[in-house]
Amino acid sequence: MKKLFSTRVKGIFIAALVIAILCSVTALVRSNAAPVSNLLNAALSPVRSAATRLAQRVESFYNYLYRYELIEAENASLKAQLAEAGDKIRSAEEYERENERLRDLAGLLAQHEDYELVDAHISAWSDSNWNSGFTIDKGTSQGVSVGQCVITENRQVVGLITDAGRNWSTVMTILDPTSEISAMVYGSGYMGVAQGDFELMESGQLRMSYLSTEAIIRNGDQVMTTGSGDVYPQGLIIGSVADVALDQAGVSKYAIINPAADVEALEQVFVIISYDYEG
Amino acid sequence: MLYRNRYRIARGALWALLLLAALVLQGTVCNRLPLLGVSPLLLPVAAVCTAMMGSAEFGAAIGLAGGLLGYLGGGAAALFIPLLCLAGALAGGLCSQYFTRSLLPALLLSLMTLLLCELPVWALRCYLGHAPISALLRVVLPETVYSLLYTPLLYLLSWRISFIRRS
Repeated sequence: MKKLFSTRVKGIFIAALVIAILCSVTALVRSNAAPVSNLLNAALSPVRSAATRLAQRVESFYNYLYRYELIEAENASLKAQLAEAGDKIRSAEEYERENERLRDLAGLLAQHEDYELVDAHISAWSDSNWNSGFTIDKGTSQGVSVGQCVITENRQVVGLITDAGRNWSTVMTILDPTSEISAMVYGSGYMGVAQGDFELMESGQLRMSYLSTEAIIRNGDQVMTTGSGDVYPQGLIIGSVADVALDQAGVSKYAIINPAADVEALEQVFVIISYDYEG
Repeated sequence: MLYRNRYRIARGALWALLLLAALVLQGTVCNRLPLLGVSPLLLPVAAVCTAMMGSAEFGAAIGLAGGLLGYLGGGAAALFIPLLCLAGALAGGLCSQYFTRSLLPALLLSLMTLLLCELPVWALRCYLGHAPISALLRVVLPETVYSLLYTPLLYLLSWRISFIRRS
């Protein structure tokens, strides 16, 4: 029987192991994306954006067709006219949504003159089922760097930049199991840590842990960032309380939070590249 | 000689394009089509379907390339590089000596690769407390089954590329 692996195959495997170890070590020490990763993602960024836009168009066209079939049954003679009108409506809706976002952004900037923002569109979603994240089409050349906070036009926290290349960055959302934000219940001031949770990630929720057992928290209470640490500015909206319970050990309470930002439906986000930190 | 090399380069370029397409599609299109709450992994399936078209050495090289692509472009863990390299080498070696290069082995080898790549991630996440043990049934199993649905298509593409002017 022939040997399954020759010396050369073993050599390739050892090379793969060495590369993996080197990648892990360099990932710990570098702040932005590795040059090779940067190059590959920079090249793939326009392709990904185009593929995402195409997928969105196909999706909206499918939704449109579904509605169209219902309309067709009622009024077949308007088929051609409806198709044309549908096209116009879809592009108008897109512009309207963008316009609305920019109006809200103008309001946000008026409230927080210290925020320096970069707007970005989502070019790809994380392909892993173990975490929650996406790639945006802005990177270091626009001032984006690792550790910056990502929000919506309504001051809602979306996540954190975890890797940045020339014209792309990856964002870890607040739903990711490794995400942690210092949080506070608005009004009552109870403090805790808003954490992503694997069990809750699928339902699009997160958990606020380490709340005092005496804390009186009602469903619907708003949860905001405290601003401690220099990542998330104070007063950004994380979400609202959906449920409160005692943790397993019974030493503290935790709350289930519905995030304010609809993470799954995001198209455009804003990166806070600088703000006045009052530490 | 020149022609043979030309076709060899063409095959290599098309296989590389297949891996790139799998990487792009799994991050842009496929994750908009979740099934049972999970999205499929195309890159390991594309890599193993390509790896089985050659020797163990070819498979290891394709696995290494696929692993690097996944790590650098797809945000996969570095562990993915040696695991996919091993899976590629196994696929190439087994198909050279024991299996035929048909769809059934492609499905079996894809299953092996997906489990080889995802089980260590699941074990590591459980150990770090980032995922519960039940994620094996809720994530790894549906993800593997869903990804296997793409095997026939990726196998067909890879198999077709392998026939570009073999001499």
